[in-house]
Amino acid sequence: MKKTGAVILILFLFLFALPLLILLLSSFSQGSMLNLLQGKGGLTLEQYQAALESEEILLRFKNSAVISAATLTVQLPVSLLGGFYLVKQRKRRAAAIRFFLTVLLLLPFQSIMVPVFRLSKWTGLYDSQMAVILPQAFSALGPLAVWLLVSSLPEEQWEAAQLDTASHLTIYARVILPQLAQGLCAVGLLCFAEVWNLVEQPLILLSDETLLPASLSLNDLELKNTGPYAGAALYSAPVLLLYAASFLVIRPHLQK
Amino acid sequence: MKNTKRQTWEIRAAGAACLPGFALCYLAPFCMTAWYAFIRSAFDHRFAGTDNFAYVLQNKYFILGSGNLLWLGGSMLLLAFALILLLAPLLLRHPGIAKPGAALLILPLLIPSISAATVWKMMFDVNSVFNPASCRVALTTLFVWKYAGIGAVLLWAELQKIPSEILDAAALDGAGKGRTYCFIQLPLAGKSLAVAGMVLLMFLLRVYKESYLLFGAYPSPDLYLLQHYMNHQYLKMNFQYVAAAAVLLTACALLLYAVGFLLMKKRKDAL
Repeated sequence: MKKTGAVILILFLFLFALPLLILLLSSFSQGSMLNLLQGKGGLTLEQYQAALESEEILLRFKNSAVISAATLTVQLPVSLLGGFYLVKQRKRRAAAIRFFLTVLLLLPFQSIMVPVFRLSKWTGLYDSQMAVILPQAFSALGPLAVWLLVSSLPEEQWEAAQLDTASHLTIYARVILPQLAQGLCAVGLLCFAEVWNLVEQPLILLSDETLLPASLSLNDLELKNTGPYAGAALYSAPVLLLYAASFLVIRPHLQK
Repeated sequence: MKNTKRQTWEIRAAGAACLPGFALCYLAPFCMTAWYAFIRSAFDHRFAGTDNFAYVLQNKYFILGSGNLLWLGGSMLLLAFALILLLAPLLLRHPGIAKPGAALLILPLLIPSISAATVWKMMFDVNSVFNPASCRVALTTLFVWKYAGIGAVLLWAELQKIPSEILDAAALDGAGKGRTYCFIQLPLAGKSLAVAGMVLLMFLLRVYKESYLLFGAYPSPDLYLLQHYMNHQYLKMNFQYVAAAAVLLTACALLLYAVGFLLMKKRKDAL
């Protein structure tokens, strides 16, 4: 019975890994993986070569990188400060703000699409990457995730540390956050994955095609005689690398 | 412990660094959406009462989109939930596979939708006019693949916390593994189940992203979702109808989330 369970679990895990394997194999084939399976040509770097030589693809990748880097530069400190505020603010006020942030996090972008568009027009940010960056930098995900992490630690830690310093922020930075380094890495990764995967916001706020990120427009780009798989694989690579790094490099280092 | 002056100042400074941003980027737009729902149009700000709501509730595309979101979304949620309920105990019973398995299950959540859509376009016929059935399967499987894994890992983490004494006592009383899972472990992990349900619902309301990448902005009526209706009305500059639809969607979503929260609270009180 236990063996059957293990087989079923492995089968499901294989199914979860299958799309990634297909993407990888397709990216090294001529056209798609089906050609590879039918014996039409062997493994080749043709698609990667075409993708890396395509100025359009590189531009979209650059746009994604710029939007992500700028967003995270603001979002991560804001998330840390927001988490601190939610933990230390008076309970009722913090609960009300948390409720509001949770509601915002759960609702689709369409709920605020029109006002965000109008605001971006009024402020002159429409059709600039800043229009996408700014709302994303204040996404509710970061502060709520940091609050969840910090509130999992016992209050006694704050009280004990207060014997050494009167500053809440010093305790937060030197005592609380270092204990949560792994969780904070996960929050950072989630924030990055979210901003790397933006579709609706650029669709509404950017009309200039040269400003669009690859997350929205990678499939629109035609590559001569090659498939779109290398571009898709390359676009997944930063998230996969960061995810792998969080397992292989960051975690053992932090545990020391 | 009461805060000193310095501590109060620090809390206020932290709030000042982030709250104006939230207010400007989310609170103001949220209030403006509610306002837009009650005016005649973006260019005529006279009070329209409930006319916009009456219009969208009678509009055939709104009804079509809502119906599809309900049925297609409902089937996606059910399938994802079934998979969560199946995978979590399997992970629990096979600790050797569980850790790498959990890492693999989280991975689809991080993969950009555009990359996933590229693979799905190869695996399925995504011409929504000629093959809507294949498109429905494509969207459903993409949703389940991308978001069920995180739910399974959440439930697995909660199941691990249940003391083994409880399970041993159930086994002594003659309860089989299936009964123990359904009547002891799942009720005890109710909070995680509710969280997983809410996370799935959140992603379901954002499924426009995957739908757009697979079928484009104008899918066939079989795959037309409420979010498509809102986007199309937005392109026609009918902001008042977008806002009215957004208010209705928000009300429904809040109702569902409130049910989830109440279930979680009830579970917490019962324990």
